[in-house]
Amino acid sequence: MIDIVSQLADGFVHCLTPLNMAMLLIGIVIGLLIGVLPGLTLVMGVTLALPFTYKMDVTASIVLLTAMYVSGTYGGAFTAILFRIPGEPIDVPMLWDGYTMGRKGRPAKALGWTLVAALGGGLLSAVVMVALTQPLARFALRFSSPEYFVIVMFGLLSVVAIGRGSLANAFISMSVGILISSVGVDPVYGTYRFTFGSPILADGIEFLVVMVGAYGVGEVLTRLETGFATKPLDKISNARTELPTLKELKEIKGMFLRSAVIGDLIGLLPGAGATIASFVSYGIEARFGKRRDQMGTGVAEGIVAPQSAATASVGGAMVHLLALGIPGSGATAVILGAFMLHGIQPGPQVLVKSADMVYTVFASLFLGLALMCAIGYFAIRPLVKILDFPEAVVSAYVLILCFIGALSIRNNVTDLWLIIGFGVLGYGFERLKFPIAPLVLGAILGPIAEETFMNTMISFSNDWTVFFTRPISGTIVALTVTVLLLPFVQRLMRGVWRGL
Amino acid sequence: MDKALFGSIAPYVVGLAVAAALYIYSGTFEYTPRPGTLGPEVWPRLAILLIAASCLFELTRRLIVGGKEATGFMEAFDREPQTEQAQPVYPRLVIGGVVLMAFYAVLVPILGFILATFLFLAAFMYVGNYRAHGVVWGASAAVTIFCGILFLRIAYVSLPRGIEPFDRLTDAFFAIPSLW
Repeated sequence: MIDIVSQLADGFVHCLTPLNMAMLLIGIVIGLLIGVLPGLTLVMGVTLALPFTYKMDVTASIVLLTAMYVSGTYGGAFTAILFRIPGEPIDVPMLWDGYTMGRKGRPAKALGWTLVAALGGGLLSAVVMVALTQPLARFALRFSSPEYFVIVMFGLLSVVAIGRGSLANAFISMSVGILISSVGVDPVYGTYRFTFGSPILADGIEFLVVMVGAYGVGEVLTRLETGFATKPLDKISNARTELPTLKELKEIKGMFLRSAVIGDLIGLLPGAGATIASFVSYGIEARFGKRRDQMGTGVAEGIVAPQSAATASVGGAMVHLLALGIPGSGATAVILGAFMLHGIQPGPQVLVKSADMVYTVFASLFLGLALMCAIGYFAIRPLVKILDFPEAVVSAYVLILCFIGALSIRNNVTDLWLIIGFGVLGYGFERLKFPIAPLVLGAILGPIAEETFMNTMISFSNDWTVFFTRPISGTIVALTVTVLLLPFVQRLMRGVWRGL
Repeated sequence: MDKALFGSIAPYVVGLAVAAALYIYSGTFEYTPRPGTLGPEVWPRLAILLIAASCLFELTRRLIVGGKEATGFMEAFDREPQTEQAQPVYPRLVIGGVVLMAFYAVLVPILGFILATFLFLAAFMYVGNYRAHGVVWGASAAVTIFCGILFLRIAYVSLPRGIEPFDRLTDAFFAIPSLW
């Protein structure tokens, strides 16, 4: 424990360098703006920032992306409360009580509750992240290729199982991602696969191309389809934040802690990100909370529960990203991408080889939360001003960022064509209700899954049962099956929630 | 078969056909087999089989329930039913956007990043039904200059210069003093 505290202290010192502080500040402001803008999702924003980090120091790039991830879970609450526009899917539950409280003449108070919830949830998540990453990484050092394979599959299948829409569509999306990642040279035989005679495909398809294309270009095409027809907003001239009193805070301290813990636990589950944390936490409060009868009428619990859980989920999600190298959500998949671009593979070894960097990222989360709340408190008016920008202008700029991302990968125009192709695929997926997150995660984790699978087959003489008979991998397989069964109890759960 | 049901199952029929074609194609990978080691086609074939099985499952389900969308785990937590009104969609705008992007990919090696980006930005705003001409051209110029300085002089990203005489415009950006 003393070791962790001492390394965290070093992390704070490293974090206070001008470059890291600048990246932290930039990340928070951009994350808040992304949260505010309905056309830009959190994952898309983090993805668009990735090409900027090519030439950057690895610590500074991870600090930048993590800051965007954290503050992105908070910024969308402003527009949800003030304009009934959820900047992110995370903010949908904020419409039920946050917006209602605003309509009752107390928008400043609703924003105050949001700020406190984000700060509280975020701090708990940072503590959990610091406390759990090292023990989990130490435990993961016992893993061999069968364990790695099943844990990668656990991450992938959790994303498939816990989502919206058809499970079959999610499986298709994940498999297409894995298939895309197998294009190029095979890791065992060195033979070409699915290159169709094209030299550029022989180098494989960069996951960045899939990610930026499907999320960035695809999202712009989806919005272009509606003619960028976002409704004009009412003018809010007095947007400000009014913090809750100590007495008010004391009244909800139990539920506050419960929601933050739920958020952390959900974040720890690969596949379940901030959106799920936000919905589940609100649902639990509406089912079991002290004022469950008043949920939806503009009560503080309806604001604090989703917001604190959403921000708290970030720490949980970062734990398995850093300790196991498994991203559980779109945003952490992009952060994994940033690590890989700099030649670092997150996992148990990262705390041995790059402990300074990991603890600097931890420290940046603590500092970032304070900065995020200060900016959210003092700069709310200029932040919501960004909504005045025409959607067509913002979207055109987003496309250019996507193109720069493509051109900077290999300085080859073919990547530009690929990114446009994946953009069309992302748009098609959106239209046909195929989720994009499994596609992207499949493209990122596919090579790791294949490598560990082939290593296992070589080491254990093609014995498939090894995944089930080894204690750790067998347990993870059982967990995976449990997660896969979750959608099948949805009918039962729907009955419970609808009966509130 | 009614049109809506046909539209709903068509993607899965296409998916099955593509999966079958890829499965056959994966059998053509050239390699020298090693005893006791699985071939390079095994892993992609597992993914292909999963695609085919999922397509088959969804196809059968839709044929039985009549194209009704399946719900996932998250819908169970929705507090209120989705009441959002369907917005009108304009597929021609998407086609316009994709064609414009294709033009950009063709023109950027010729015109260079700066000029191609400036023209693309303005054209895209018009395709997106935005007609405030001053804002269109002003924002296009501002964003192009901003990106040029940021990526060419600060982040040092290698972007296409274009061919003569258009490369002179890119070179003009290199005359700006660098931050580093």
